[in-house]
Amino acid sequence: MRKTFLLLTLGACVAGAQSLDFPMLGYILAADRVAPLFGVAGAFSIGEPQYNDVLSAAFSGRAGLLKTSGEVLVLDSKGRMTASVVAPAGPALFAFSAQGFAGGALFPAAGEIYLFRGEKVTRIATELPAGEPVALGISGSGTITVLLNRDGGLWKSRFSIVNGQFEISEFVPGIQAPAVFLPGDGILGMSGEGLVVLFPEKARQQIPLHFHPSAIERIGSGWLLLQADSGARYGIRHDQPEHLYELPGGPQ
Amino acid sequence: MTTRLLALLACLPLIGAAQLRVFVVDGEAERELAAQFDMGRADAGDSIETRFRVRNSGGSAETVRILTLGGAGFSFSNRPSIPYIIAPGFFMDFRVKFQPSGSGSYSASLTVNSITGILRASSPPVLTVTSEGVALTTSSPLDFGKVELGSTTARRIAITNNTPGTITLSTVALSGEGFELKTALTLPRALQPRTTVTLETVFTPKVAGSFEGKLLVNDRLFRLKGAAASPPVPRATISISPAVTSSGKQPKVSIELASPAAFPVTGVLTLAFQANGSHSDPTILFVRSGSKSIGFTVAQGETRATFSGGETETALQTGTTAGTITLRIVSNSDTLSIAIPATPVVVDMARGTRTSSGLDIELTGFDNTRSVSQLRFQFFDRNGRAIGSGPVSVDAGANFRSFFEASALGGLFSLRASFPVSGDASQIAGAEVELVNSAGSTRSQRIQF
Repeated sequence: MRKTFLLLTLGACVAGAQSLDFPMLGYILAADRVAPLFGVAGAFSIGEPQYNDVLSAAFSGRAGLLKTSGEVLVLDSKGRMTASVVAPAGPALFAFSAQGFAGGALFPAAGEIYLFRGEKVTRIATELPAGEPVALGISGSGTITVLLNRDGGLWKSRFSIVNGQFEISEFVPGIQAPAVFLPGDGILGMSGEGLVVLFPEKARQQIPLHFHPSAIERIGSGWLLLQADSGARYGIRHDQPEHLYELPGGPQ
Repeated sequence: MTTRLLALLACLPLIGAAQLRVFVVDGEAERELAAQFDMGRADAGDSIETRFRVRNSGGSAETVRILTLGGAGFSFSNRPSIPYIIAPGFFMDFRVKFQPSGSGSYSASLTVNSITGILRASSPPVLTVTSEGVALTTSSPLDFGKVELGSTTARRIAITNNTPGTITLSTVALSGEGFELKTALTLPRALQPRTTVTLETVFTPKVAGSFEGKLLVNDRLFRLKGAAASPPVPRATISISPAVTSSGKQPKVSIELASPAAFPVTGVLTLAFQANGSHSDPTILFVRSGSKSIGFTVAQGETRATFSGGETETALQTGTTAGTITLRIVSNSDTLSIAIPATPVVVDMARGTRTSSGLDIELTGFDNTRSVSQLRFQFFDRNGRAIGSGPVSVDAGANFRSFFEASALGGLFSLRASFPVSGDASQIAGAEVELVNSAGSTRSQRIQF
């Protein structure tokens, strides 16, 4: 114990042991432009847009995935592009690994899935199950899963890389679109009363919300964006969804 | 006299300089000026205009030394300075305006060097339309001016027969939002020479903005225009909820008029920030607009202002700097000052991670005094007992001072502190960080590694 304490003391005294920076919450897509979101809960600031003509975007805090008209761009935690991949037309749904790295992309219009493993990209043409895809996720075990909106309810369908197709569809009761997957195999979506958070082996969490968002997007490490029909955008944390913050609007 | 002159000139060939030719320009088309040219007709008080072009079709430069126009009702509307040298293949343009003072046939002689042509035009007998003694024309609108909402402005319009014969007034029609003809007329009506019909017209806008109307008198169309300005926003109270706030919050702002709005009210609420120091803070803003101003409206008969999105409250972001935020309604100067007190550092997120060389602690938060001086790290073992005889203290004043001086984001910061550990780092299970600034100290929640 004494040895450990001495080493800690020494480490803290090393010049440069502390580094300071702006707190980066993530990146948000407004109209077709992606801009950084700085700040802390309740004090946000949107930076200058860095990417234009973006159809879809998602950020984990460690990586970002953007869909433009013809490409998927892979970004690092600072928003710098690290790779680009030719992609089918139309919007995309994105998923990240449990560590927050680029994991997968689903192109509903083309029926294609891209799997990212480091710098390697695997393209798989597949047939989507019935329903409107609303979210893509990668479970802790690495399974690709899509959430489908079918007849007003959500269904979870797992993708078999071996067979190249979606296999088992399972109804997710008491939750509606829009919805997103959360790290730890959770799902955050809507019900008639507000937000619903579901995690395996955990009690369902219900949070009242005064509006029904038109979209829920993953915008950074621990943060989700809720888009209201009024044009207002709200931010919540995965782990504290009961605290709702309005994000700055106006021209981007 | 005019007829005889025309007949004589018509018999003569157009004699001009060999290289200069005169054309009438109609859009993109050009046609050479004949001995006579009919410019058309214009009502008394109105005008028409024709563009002419003098071309040099020769191989050497030519000089226009004579450019004259003789005849009542005709004038140059833009006459080039003479002499005017035209290079080979180039041209010179000018315009002639016909503006008759009364009905009848008109003619004028146009001369360019040795080229001469007769310009003809006519003005049919029409009723003269005036307002406040000024003749209206179809080209310039009758301006009712700018009025405050709820007010009315009136214009008296006289229709007079100034011709020697009788003219039938068959149509009088007024159209356009906010414009109204108050005089009831029985039409058609024969107007004898030197007789006048008087119309009373008013402009009563219902909303703020610019308006256009039309007045049709027989087949002549006159344009009307007017503008309406919102009256100053009536006395109002700006409220904030919760009433006492601090940095890093999003309280709601509302506006309540002292009495129901007599007319639809449009206003702008602005904010100004005076920091305790000399700092600016871009995170202090109206959230919905993303700026330091936001528009609002109050419906007629209502007292509560409505902001963007139809909501009666709008979020104000109080930022991360201590000082005073002043909200002000533009145009009536009602204000509300909100004190943002200096506080100890606020920690928004604290995270600990194990690295290959030891431990990393990451903190994000804000210091609304920008005066962090000390960091104290207390580590805990697996049993929750503090390790060592006290926290590890770090003088962070210089680092934070340097960071805030260069920062444009208020008191926001993200701190990463690294601790090399060469012993059994797994013995260290958690840590707490105390941050000291000029307003006091704050301690993070227990960080788990």
